[in-house]
Amino acid sequence: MNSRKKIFFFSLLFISFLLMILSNRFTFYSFKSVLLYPLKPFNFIVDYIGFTFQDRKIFREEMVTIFQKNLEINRLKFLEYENENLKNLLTIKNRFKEELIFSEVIGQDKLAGEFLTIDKGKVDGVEEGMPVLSLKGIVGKIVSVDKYSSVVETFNNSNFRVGVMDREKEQFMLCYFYRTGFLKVENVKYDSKLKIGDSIFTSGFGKIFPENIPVGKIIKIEVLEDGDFFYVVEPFENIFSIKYVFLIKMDKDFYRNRFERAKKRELTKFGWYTIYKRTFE
Amino acid sequence: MKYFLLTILSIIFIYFISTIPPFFSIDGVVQPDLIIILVIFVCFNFNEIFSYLFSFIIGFFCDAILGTYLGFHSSVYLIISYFTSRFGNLFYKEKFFNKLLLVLISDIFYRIILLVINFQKSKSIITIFVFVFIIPFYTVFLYFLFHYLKKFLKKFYVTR
Repeated sequence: MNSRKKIFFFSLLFISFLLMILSNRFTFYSFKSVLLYPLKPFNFIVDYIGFTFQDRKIFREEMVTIFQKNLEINRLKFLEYENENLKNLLTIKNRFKEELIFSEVIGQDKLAGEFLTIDKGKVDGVEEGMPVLSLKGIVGKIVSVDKYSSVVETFNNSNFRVGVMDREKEQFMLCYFYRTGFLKVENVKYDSKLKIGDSIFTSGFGKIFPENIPVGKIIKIEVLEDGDFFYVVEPFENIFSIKYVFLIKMDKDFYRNRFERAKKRELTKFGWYTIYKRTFE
Repeated sequence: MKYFLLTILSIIFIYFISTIPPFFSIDGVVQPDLIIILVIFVCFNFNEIFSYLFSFIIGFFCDAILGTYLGFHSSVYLIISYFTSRFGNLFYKEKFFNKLLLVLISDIFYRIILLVINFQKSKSIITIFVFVFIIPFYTVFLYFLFHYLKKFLKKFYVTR
């Protein structure tokens, strides 16, 4: 009799340990949820008894207060962030002689990041072909202007081209769109001393972007089959997280006369002519 | 039938106390383990085989509801019920004080195992001391109360 009890006890203990080992390996979610199902009426009863009408009213009022406070905190955080950004944008103002137009990004091509929509338009003096920059560097140029908004063609667009140079102003190259989030720099001299990690800047030769605007840094050197090579550049600015931009307002006749000036120079072979043509025709 | 009824009622009791955590607690901190009291009560008043089975089932439901490892409470309650049934029936059957001592030891044993399992979660020595040595005294006090309540109710029904 005594041994029967012992066997019974030890078999139950064995099952318990087995369950412990198994529950360490598998999680019995579905099984536990079945066992937890009867808790619902108990929870309901406890809730009903525990929270009287008055308690519920106070609870609801407290919830509303907490929600409002959270909303206020979030609003203040956003204002702080916005203030910081605008302060930084204002520091940029001293760097340029030209008039700047500060703008906020209101729309984005989320798939490829080819276009941005900004909240400034014809009313604010925005014109087609205006360069668009950000705190970190180059962003793109204006391709379409409405009354109160404009569309920016970013460096993620396949039409993007810009004249670039190195920090020492020794080499002048051309920067094209490579793939989303990357640019490639061609027309590189064979004795180029640029290496991975070096930054490149706008040369100002295209007359779209001013000189010395940071473009990005070299992350890779691609060598082609014929021995020619180009640099892969990662732009400093991430189009997908951009919030504020600024436009550089050149003098009124600048955009009108530029195409004519370019035509006179007859730079057809070099490719600059193509850029102007694509931009203004 | 009475065994079955007791088990079902105990399971309902577990469901009930798991929905109200500060049941019989002092300031929500000192929380007695009412299930230990129930297990020991069954061990003292019912036969050994049933007390083992009862401990196992109750422990199993505790694990499922409280979210611990399946089998943890079952094994702890089984061990408690084993020692309570063995030594309780041998030495402490008549003396009430000894029963209380057994409740105290069982609860301390249970809490030490809980402490070992949740070792990383324990905060300070004072908290550990209160958890392991103070709360069991409160459990004993509750057992004492329940015992006299049972006696009183028995007397009340007999006299009626």
